[in-house]
Amino acid sequence: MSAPEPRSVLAGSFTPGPRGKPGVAGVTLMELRTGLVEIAARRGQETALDTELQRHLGLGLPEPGHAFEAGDVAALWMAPATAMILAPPARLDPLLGAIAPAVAAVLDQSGGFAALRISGPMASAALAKGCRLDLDARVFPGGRVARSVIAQVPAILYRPAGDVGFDVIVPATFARSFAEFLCNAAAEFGCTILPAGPRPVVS
Amino acid sequence: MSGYRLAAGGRIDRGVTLPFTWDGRVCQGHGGDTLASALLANGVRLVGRSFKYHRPRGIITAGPEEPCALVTLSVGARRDANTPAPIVELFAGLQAESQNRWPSLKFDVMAVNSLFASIMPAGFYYKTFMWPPAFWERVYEPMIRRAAGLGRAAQEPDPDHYEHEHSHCDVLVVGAGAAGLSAARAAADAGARVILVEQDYELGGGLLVEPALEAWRRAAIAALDGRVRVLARTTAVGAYDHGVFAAVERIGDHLPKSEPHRARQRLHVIRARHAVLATGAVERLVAFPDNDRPGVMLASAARAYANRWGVAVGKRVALFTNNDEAYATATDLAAAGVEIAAIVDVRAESQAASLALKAGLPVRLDHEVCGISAARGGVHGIHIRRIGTAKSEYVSADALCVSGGYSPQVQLASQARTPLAWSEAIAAFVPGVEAGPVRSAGAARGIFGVREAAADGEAAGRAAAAALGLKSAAPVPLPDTAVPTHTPLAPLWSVDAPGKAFVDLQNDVTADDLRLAHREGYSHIEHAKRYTTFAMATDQGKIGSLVGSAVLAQARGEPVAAVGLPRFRPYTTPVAWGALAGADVGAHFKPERLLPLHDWHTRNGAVFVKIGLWLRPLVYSPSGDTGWEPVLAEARAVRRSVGMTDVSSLGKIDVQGPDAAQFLDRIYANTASTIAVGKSRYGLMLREDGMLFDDGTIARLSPDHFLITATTQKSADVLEHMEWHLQTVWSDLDVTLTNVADHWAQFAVAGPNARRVLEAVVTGLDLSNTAFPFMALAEARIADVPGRVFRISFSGEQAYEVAVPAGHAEHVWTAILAAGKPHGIVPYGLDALNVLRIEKGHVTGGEINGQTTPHDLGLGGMLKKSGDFVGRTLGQRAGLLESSRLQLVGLAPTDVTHRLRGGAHLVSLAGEGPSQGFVTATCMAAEGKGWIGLALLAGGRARHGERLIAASPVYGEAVEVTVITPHHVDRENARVRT
Repeated sequence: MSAPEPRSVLAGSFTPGPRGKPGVAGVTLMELRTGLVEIAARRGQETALDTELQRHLGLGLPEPGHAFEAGDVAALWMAPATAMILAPPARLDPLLGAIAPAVAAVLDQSGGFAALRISGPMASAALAKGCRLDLDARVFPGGRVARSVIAQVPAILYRPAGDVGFDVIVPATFARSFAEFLCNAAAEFGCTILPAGPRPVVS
Repeated sequence: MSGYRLAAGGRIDRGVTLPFTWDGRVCQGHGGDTLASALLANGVRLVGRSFKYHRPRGIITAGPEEPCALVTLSVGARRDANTPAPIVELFAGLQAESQNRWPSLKFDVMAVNSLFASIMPAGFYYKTFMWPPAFWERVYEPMIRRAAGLGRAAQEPDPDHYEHEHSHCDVLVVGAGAAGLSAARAAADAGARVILVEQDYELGGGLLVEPALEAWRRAAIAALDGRVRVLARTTAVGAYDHGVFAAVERIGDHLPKSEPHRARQRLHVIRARHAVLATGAVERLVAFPDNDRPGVMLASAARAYANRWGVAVGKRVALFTNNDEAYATATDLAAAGVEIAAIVDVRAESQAASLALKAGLPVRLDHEVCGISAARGGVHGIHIRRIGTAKSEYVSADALCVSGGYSPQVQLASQARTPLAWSEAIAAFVPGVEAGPVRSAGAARGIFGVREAAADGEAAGRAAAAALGLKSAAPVPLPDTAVPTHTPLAPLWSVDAPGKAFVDLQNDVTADDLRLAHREGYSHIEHAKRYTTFAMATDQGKIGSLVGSAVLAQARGEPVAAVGLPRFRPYTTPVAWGALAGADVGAHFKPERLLPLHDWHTRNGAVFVKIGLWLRPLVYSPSGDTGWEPVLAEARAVRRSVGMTDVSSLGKIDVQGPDAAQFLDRIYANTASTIAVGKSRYGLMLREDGMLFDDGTIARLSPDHFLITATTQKSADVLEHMEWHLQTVWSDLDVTLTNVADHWAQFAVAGPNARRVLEAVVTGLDLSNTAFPFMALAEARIADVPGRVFRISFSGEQAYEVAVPAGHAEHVWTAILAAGKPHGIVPYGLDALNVLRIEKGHVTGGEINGQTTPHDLGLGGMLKKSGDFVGRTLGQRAGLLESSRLQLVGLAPTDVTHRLRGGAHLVSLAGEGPSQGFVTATCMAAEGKGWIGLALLAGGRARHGERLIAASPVYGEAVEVTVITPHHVDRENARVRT
């Protein structure tokens, strides 16, 4: 008997297809299949962790409110000296045992969160129905990360570079409520749900 | 019947005819009409009955400041009461009804109140309906409420949906008149992000009644295109600290039905760095006798109805004024062919009067209106007299336009903490010294005239942009209007003549009421407001509150500036509850937290219970039976063989770092540092005050790595408590806390056959009692999924908890069920879990209720004897150690057929004396017969064997009980170690 693929918390409830106003596609929603690892540097080990991350993933520990992204890996700032790494599970598995506990706490969070990509011309208008942050590109440009509460759900909000929309990462047990909020908020703009897939790689 | 549609003019679309009903009568209006303009065009003058006296009332204004013409729109679930007719956009099929009349608007029974008006002054109800006291609630108040009131709310659920939006800008401009349009343009020219909100459905404000300035209006709007976010039909209703404004956008109110997928209204929470308030000014009334009769209207409103909607308010119209601006109403009406009966001006001379006289209009300078002749509810003439004389003269007229001057709309400025200052020039309050990012512009700060207001708005827009560090561009073009020279207004508040002279038309408050308030000691404006209900109605006294203040000032013998206005509070206009609630209603009131196995639970007949945000299986009962039978069947399966329950909602916090053990020693009341690697311990957390905060398990994964659990309800509080201490109290400790609650699905497998079941699915771990004893933990593969196995028990049976990443929850859960099939394994829900823990005497939220200490619950022995911990010092207070405190006990009814009730109070067998404690948990026993319970009883541990009465006044029950140990099952605690 071998372990099956993990099942997404949104499976069965976030069916691909159009939602809301027909004939327009103001908002596109997609569940991102990604591994998540939370890494927090031990006291005074920020530089050591940065070096380790560079070595394993090719990117370092992000500054507060910011993210690094390279290829299929993104490192999002979570808290002082703490980052959430998003990458395909195959890239994260080696990491889990590779960094010494004296350097950082490294925890698999792949089951703990759901990640959604929200794109389209009305993406920020839909998010604004539940998000208090100013999402204007001049204020919250590509590469920025924020932790906030969206529609009463604790959320990590990340705007990748390249005007591709927003990635929102919410606790798995809140994911369906949050997806429902997004579908309702996007309904007036016309909303398309894409099949779940890996995070698009930055070109 | 006196209003009528003019042959030409106005902004209406005469090619579009819109049928609507008024009190069931079919009427017609045109595209661009409001309900008010259409009613006037159809000759309707009487539109409602007043709040207290049921006096006939008409349309007084042409905007949201309307106090009288409140109507009920639509029917059924969409019925919407108390809407001012002037803000209702007409659409085909609109159904509107008058309010506060019975049986009909024209014949209203309660109008008899009018006859007794002289004996119903302010405070009348409180003075009169005093005796007998019990009658107030039962008889008087319901009667008064029935008689005095407005429309009725719909009873059905609202079929429309509402939402919120968080909006952001550099500069918020409120009001799209000449000042607002210019301010928005100037700020946008400088590169600022601008939001412009306008309550009207058309932009322009006062420009909409100036046909000559239409080209400038269009150009000013076009200049904003694509650069400024323009929100029409949006009313800024509140100004708050830090540049936060609330604004309600009416998206679907003007449509017969909201568009699919669109909200009916949207509440914007606008965070603005700067704000320009270009909210304009509102004309005010004059308190003369019968100033509320249908046909009396503000002069600016009459002009708006003629110029914007092509409606004459009467065939023979009189004007009563104290200022030059109001003459425009007479000249425009005259130009439209309406006969002007008289222009009554209280001033001895006026430039506008001279021009009007030259044009052949009948001006009566140095005169005042001292009365109204009304027939069938409407004006048919006015009585005028020379100032200072008593002899009056009758002038026939079917409408009277009144102007007492213009009051800047300072509500938002005042809410934003701008002090108000008295302006002698316009006899009104204006925003005083502005500090900070909120500026008023144009008529909103007493700058009258279109060109002047536009220039002032531009300056405010520039100032806001400059304060943001933005450079202004070229000047904004201003409208080319002749600058007229004006004779200043003469302040005019009331006319001294007998009769009811209203200062608040919606709440039926007269000038005499305010004078009475002063005589009776309610002289402060806020006291007078509450005594008379003046300015407290839904219109908040927009057209009359200054008049009321002035009347009070006269009574007090002081200037108006010394009296001030009643305090302005949000909201500036009434707001629908739906808009405030937004989308967070019904099923979306709070987000739901779903277990990783939610779908499996649903498919397998779980009846869910909502606990906090969680939906958890209460019992698996495909028939929907939530009685004791299915619950006890689940619990008995655990006691007799094996069961499994989903405990994934437990809080799980990863604690690691070189100081982790030390940190846990301080945060827990018992010791963590002595836990061996690969072992767990039950842990107690106290609050600083020594009360029990939460309980859970502490598992040691490696010397510097722990995993703790917290109860479902307290998990967020526990993490916060730990983070707070780590960050502020012991910031020297090198510890990382990570919330891993959602990553791990966790199941308890419990019962005498638990090991046999798990042995079939767990690999890489010897589960035998010697190799893996009680409280052991280890990593293992469960159904080939890497996870953890803990040997802990909440049920009192041989039990394990397995944890796997949430994405594998269903795979592992179903594998364990399959492995347990030969043993008759059943999934069990929260009710059975509760039965098992009550029988075992384990405590949960019912006992850890914030008022109990570890000693109270019999857990005092767990507290560490040396070393500090949170709650130690205050927990040693003498009062918390007394043996007479409420202590945990078990209860059993003397007669096993008797039911125990949670919350019942324990009293002496005689059923007398004070309560000695209360029942915290009850259930039917799975092992044994009948009901058992847990309770907190004064000095309870020393009272085992005593008999008491458990009295439940809620159910009217009293049951004799015996006090016993809380550990009903397996007192030696042997089963968990088998």
